Amino acid sequence: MKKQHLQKIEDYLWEIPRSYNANMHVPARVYALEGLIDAISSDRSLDQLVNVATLPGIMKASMVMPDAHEGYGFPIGGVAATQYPDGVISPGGIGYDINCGVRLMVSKMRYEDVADRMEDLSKELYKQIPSGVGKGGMIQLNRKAMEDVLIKGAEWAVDKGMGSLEDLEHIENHGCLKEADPATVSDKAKQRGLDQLGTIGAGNHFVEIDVVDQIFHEEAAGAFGLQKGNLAVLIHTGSRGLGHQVATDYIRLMVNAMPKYEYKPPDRELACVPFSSEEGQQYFKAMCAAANFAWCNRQVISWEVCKAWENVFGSYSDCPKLLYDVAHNIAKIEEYTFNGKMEKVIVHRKGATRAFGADFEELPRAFRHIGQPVLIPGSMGTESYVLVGTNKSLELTFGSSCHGAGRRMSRRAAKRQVNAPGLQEQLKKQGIFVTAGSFKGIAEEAPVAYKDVNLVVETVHRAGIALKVAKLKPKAVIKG
Amino acid sequence: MDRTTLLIDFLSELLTLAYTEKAIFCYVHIEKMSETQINAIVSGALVDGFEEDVKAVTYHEANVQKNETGNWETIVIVDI
Repeated sequence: MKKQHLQKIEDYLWEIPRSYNANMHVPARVYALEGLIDAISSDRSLDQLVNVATLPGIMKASMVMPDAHEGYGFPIGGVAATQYPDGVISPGGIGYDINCGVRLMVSKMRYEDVADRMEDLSKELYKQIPSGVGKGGMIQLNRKAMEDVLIKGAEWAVDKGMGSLEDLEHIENHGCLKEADPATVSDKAKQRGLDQLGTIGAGNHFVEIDVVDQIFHEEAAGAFGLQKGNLAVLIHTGSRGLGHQVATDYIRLMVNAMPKYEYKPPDRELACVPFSSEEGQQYFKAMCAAANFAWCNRQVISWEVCKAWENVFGSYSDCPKLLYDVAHNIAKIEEYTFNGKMEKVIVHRKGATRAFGADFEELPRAFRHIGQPVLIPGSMGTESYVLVGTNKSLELTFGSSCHGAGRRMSRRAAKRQVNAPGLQEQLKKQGIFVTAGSFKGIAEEAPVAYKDVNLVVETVHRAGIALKVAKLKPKAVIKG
Repeated sequence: MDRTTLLIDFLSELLTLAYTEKAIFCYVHIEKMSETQINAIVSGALVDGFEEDVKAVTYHEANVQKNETGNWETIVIVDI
C-alpha cells in the first residue's frame, strides 16, 4: 500500500478509511510521526492492517504503533480489540512467541563505580544465563512441575526461592493469568518446554546491562527508583519452544475449524474463531498457560542475573530489584468505554505493550498514582526507554503503546550488509560489550536493521499514550 | 484440509520432532500421499545444537499449485 492512501489526522496519527476496502468493518489507524511513514509503508504492514480491520467483531479500529512492520497475517506493532464474547480470537494476533516481553531490574549501584567490571559482568551473565537455539537450562521440569508452572506462572519460581513475593506485584497481571489450563496445552508443547526455563533463546532476545542516561519525568522516575548514572538490567524473551508449539497447534486447529463458522480470512495466518466457541476457549486457556510459562521464565532469568551479580560484585552486593515486567505478545479481556457504556473486549497485542495510567489497582503502591511502567528496548547498542502509561491510552489505543524500535530491514539483508566482527569491535570502543553465540546473530540485530527508537518513542509521547520517563544506554549485551 | 494445509502441517511436525528429538532430518521417503494424509519415513542425525532458531512454519504466502512444468510449487516462510 502506498503512503497516499493514508489520511493525516494528527501529526502522529494517520487513517485508512473504511471506504478503502468493502470488507473493512472499522477504519485502520497508524500511530507514527511522518518520519516513520516511509519505512512503515515500504513493506506490507499496512495491507495487513487493512486485513485485520475485516475481522469479525473488531471494535473501533485496527491499529499499529510507530514500530510497525510486516508480520505473518497481522502486522507487528498491531492492536486489535474484538467484541466479547462472540468476536474472534486469533493466535496470529498474538504471535508465535506468546508473552514475549520485557522486564527491567534497577540497581542502586553507580556505573562510574564499576565501569571497569562490565566485561567481567557480561562474561558471567553469559555463563549463568543459557542462550542460543534450542538450548536447555539448569532446571529440568517433570510433568507435574510443568503443570504447576503453567498454572502459577512467576509464582512457581518465587515458591522455589527464585525471587520474592514483592516481585510478583511488579509483573503485569502479577505474573499469572488465572484462566490458564494445562490440559489445553499439547504434550509436544510441554515436552519442548521441559528444559527451557531460565533460557533466553536466540533471535532478537537478550539480557542487557544499561546505565540510566537521562531523566525526562522526575516524579515518575523517582517512583520507579530510576536514578541517573545507576545500573539497570533489561531482559527480553518469551515462552520459548512451548509457546511456539501452542501457537502452531492452535493455528492448525483454527484453519480447520474456520469453515464451521463460515469465515474465510484474506490470509490463513489470520485464522480465528469466535472467542466463545469451544476452539476459542481452548486456545485462550492454552495461551494463558504459555503466558504463565514466559513470566516464570523471566523470573528465573532474574534469579540467574542475581547469581552473576553476586559472583562479580560479591555476596554483600544488593541484586537489582524488579521494576516491572510487561508482555508484548498477548490477548487479554479488558473493559473500555463505548458511547458512555463499559464493555468487555478481547484485546490482541502483537508487538504492543499495555500502557495503563494512574490509579490502576493492579499496580504496586509505589507507583499506582503515577501509572504503569512501559519498557521499550531499542536495538542492540542503541538506547532503550522507560515510559509511563496514561489514561489517554485507554481512550485512544485500548490501553496500548509501542514495544521496541521495530525492524526496518530483513535479517537476510542485515547479514549481507553488516560486518559483525567489525560491529562488535566498534561497539566495544564505545564501551558496549556484546557477547553472542554467533556473529550471524550480531549482524541480524545490528542497529542499522531497526528504525530509530527515538522517533518511535517521540510518537507515543506526543500522542500522549505513554510518556517518556528515562533513557537507558547499553553497556553490556548478552544474546543467543 | 487442502494440500497447502497438509504441507505446512507436515513441515510443522518435522520442526517439532527436530526440537523434541534434538535432531536434523536430511532424508524424507514419502510412502503414501493423498489430499489429506502424508505417510513418510524421515531420517537424519542427532545434533548438539541448531544454527537457526525456527519458531514455526507459517501459512504466510503458502499456496501449493502446479506450475507450467507440471511440478508442484509453493513458497514456505518460517518464523525466525
